[in-house]
Amino acid sequence: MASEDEEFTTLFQDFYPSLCRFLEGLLGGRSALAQDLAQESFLQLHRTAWSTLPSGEARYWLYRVARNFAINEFRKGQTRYRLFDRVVESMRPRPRDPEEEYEKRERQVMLMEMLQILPDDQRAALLLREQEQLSYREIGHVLNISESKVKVDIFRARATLRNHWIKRMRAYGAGSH
Amino acid sequence: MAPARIRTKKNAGLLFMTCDQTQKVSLLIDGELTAAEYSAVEQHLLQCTDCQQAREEFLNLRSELVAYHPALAPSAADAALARILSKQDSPVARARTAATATRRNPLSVLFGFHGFSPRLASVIALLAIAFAIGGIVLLRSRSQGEVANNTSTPSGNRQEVTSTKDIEASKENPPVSDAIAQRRSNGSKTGQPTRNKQLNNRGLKPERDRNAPSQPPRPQVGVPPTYAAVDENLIAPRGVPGHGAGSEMLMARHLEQSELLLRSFRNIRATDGGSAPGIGYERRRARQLLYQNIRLRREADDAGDVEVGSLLGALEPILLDIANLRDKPHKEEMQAIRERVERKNLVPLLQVNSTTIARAYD
Repeated sequence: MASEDEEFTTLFQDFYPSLCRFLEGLLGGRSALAQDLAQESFLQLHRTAWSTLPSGEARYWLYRVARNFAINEFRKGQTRYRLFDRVVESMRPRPRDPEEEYEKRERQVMLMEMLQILPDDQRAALLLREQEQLSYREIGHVLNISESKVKVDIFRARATLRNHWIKRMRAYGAGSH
Repeated sequence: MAPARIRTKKNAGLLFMTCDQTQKVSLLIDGELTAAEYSAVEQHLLQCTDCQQAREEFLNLRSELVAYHPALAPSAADAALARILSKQDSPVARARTAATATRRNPLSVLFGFHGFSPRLASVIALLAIAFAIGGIVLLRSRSQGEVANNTSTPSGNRQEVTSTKDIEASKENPPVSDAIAQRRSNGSKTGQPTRNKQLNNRGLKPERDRNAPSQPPRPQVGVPPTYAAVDENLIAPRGVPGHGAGSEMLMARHLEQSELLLRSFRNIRATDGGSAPGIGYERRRARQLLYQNIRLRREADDAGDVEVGSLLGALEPILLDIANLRDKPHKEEMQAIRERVERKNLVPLLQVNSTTIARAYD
């Protein structure tokens, strides 16, 4: 029991930040909601599947469950910031380096917004590939889709974002001058 | 490979020359091509400016996504972990329960039966909500205080649940090479874990190195972690039990990703001025792989796997040198690293080993 808790603690420390990042990407940067859902995912893992999952499978289980939670949030019609999220975001400490860090933060906000343009499958596949560096086979395993669909989804996601990213960066550059 | 066809496509106001091989570029940067396909696409990239542009933009997009880090409060994460391990409900579950309880609030029944005036009813409702919120906040702060101080174990030994250290953003941090030298000088082959396990409800204290800090440092809230700020102790401790097939697949992936990085680094072309284009992506990737390499090499050494241990040992200084390059290094600097990679025959060795391990555990 003690070693199981230790293993779970290690898993939590290793993957909680990644899971939060994945959920923020799915949810358009809503940090508080992402953390809530990440905690819920780990709670469900600990309660229901931790003792029965094969080794190495827990990570994929977490991403799968987290993504399902995110889909449920969309289905509830949570398409705008909750009041609490808005307050938290407005109170997030701003970096003291004005120029470079501000621009970086702005680009990241734009990126999170642009990710919402993508269909759910494409967004999830792209985030798992780029941020979590899962292979196509692993992504297919997490999302329960074929490798061929993963290939197509990721390419389409990149093509779409490439187009929108260029337009937004041009508009951003023009507006900042 | 069939000759590429160029199509002109207007997409939401932007004119794109799209080569039908662009999808192959997407597969190339993900390392999902066979060796033969890889060579063919590389050859194509030498001739197709559209695909070169697509590759660069895909990699820029990747950099932006990888650079995104959520600001996580360490105390909130620790409290969440404590809650999970003590099998309490998460905030999401509690919110659902509270929503259900509100619907059964006896005040709603009271309004219906006794016909309060609307003004009085709204005042009472506001007072009730204010008391409820105040009560919830008070209970949460008490329960968090109890969890933070919770030390009762069956044996009665007191043990801290959390003790976090913050890395100050303004603190001078040694370069990566100094951190590794420091680890080596600390006698890293003793096999002592360097990370303290936080929670143990049986009261058993894990063994730990006396010289190691009690807790791995955590990044400061609101400050995105940078690789320069990562301390040696964030590398997983020795002796962490692997998960059998899981750890072998991790090794196979690490070798595969290292191979792809070295290939990508080898293929970078110098500009006319003699310096390389920006290699920010390769530098960041090398840093990520370096930390993983250190951990895996320790595990291989502990397991007595001499072959993999020496391969990772040969790879490690290469990753270190790439990570420490300037963003636009001179071609001589890059050429020196390429020559070392060639002399050590690293790319084929990584390819063979990753394939062998992956097949064995597939």
